[in-house]
Amino acid sequence: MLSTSRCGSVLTCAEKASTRLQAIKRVLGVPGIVSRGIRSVIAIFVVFAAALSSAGAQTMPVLQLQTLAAGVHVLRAPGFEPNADNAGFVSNIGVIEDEHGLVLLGTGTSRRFARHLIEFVERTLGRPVIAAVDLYGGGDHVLGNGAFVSRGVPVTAHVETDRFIRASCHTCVERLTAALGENMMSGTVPVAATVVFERSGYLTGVSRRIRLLHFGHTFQPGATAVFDEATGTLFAGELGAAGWLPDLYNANETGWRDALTELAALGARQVVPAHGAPGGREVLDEPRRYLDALIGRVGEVFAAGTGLLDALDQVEVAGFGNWYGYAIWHRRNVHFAYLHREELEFGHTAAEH
Amino acid sequence: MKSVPGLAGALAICLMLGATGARAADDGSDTPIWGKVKTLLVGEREVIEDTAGSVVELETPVRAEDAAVVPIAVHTRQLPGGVHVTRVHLVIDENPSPIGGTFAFTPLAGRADIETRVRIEAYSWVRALAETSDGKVYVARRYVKASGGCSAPAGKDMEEALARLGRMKFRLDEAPVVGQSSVVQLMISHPNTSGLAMDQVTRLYVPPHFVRRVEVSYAGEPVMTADVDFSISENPNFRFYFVPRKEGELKAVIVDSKDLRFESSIAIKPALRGS
Repeated sequence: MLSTSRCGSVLTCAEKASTRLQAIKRVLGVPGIVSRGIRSVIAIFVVFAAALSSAGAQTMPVLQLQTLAAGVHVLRAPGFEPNADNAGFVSNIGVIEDEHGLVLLGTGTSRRFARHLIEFVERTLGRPVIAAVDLYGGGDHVLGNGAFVSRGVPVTAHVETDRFIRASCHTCVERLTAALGENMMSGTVPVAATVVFERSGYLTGVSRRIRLLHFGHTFQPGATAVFDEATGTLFAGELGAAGWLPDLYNANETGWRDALTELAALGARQVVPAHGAPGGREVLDEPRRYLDALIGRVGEVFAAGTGLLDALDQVEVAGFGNWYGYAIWHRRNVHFAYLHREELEFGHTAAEH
Repeated sequence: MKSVPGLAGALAICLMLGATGARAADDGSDTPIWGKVKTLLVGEREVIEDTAGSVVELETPVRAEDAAVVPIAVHTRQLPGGVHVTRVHLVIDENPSPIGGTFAFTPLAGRADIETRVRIEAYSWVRALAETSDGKVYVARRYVKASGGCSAPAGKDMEEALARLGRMKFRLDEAPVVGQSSVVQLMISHPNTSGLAMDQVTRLYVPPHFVRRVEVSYAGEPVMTADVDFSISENPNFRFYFVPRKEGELKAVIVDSKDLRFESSIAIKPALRGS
């Protein structure tokens, strides 16, 4: 397969091939003797070899386990922006050791990355992967599902996250293929969960008490957090945030804010967000502060009769300007918060957003 | 019920024009779509480019936050001698149906300003065409970066959306005063589906169902009428002016593409000036 990401474009590859062909002819010293047909065959061969060489150069990122508590680890994503160097590894993946094997929280961005992930944790911890949980529907978090399911590993998700995977993840594949290249995403298709749940409860098929926490429509309708009771470790997924601005694209901001209050009440010893560094309660308090301020400020401008167009310019939330995403989607957050506020005029409750 | 003559036909032709995928000229002054739409709307009348906003001004975001809900505002000004804007056409060159709406204002509106939200399918010139009471035509344009707005899935559960289909609400931010322009917002609960959006779970296209006519009156007299289509976003929203001259009822009647008719009204008791 031709790699467009390393060569820049197929045309660029062909140009390089042509240059190599000229070099071969010079070495042979028989310009003009090589027939047009043979030259074509050589050109195709050189292009193919160049493509293979580029594909091979696209390597998987080095993974490193950070231990948070006894039997509880996180694989920290190296960055926020998916690119060929990080293979789209932009959201943290939790690893919990159970009596029977390993539970992974998140399956990664692609089938290829998921295989790399499974191989790494099994080799490092010396135990098989026995379960995976999708905390939310995001290409960076669920597109590795296929690698797990094909090995017979159950993948658990909230029913709404499962619906999201079925409905929307085809576009995630397209977007990530554009960012990472076809080689990295080859064989990756959205694969639905094999175990779905509707309400908070415990993860089945494991001996450890691992709570699945769902609070209704928050970051997404199916966004879930996982709480390991033995160590007090909370994997907040997209509900928590550290340096990564909450994104309201599919969210209900009031539901999300209220969920953060409930999560804080758990008194977790450590909290792992989907993006950014694990920490303590601040991983829940900071996004709550942002959402609270956003909801409040949007409510004020709405009450003052400000239209949507002007509201976009008027609502800022202090203290988050240096968070990743503020420059990109804060205005969009204002847009959605305003539309949600407007819907309340029709008598909706926050939960109906 | 009256409608703008030939608008349905114009829309049909525009649907075909939109499918040609015409590209915008560099400065947007003369694109193939615009040339044809302009003739459909105002015939051979000269269209005056209003770059200074002396009659009509168009406000849009440069880059939309959400292509399915792009807020736009058209501001108008009176000319000397009492010449005023009577009608505003909204054109989105690259939409499947480029004529997004035609808004007609009576003197009871006070001023022919309109704010609404539109869907934008591809990077496009957006134009506000203003017809004045002396028969002249002015245009203002802005280029908006947005894509996929017409084919974006509806933001709501369709069952929920249909349960509150046609509900309306008027919103007045300040107490109306006799003889003074008051801004009013009409919010309509309607999915306004374009027919171009696929249900991502069933993989079926959601049939078109959109508001096509809005009539607003005050104390029995017309204020503003709008002939619109699916270029208007889900839950159509219009901000405009009216001038209450006495106590009365502000009333909206909407008709959608399935000929469903909905009404809503509120009683207005304007304060006396200076009271």
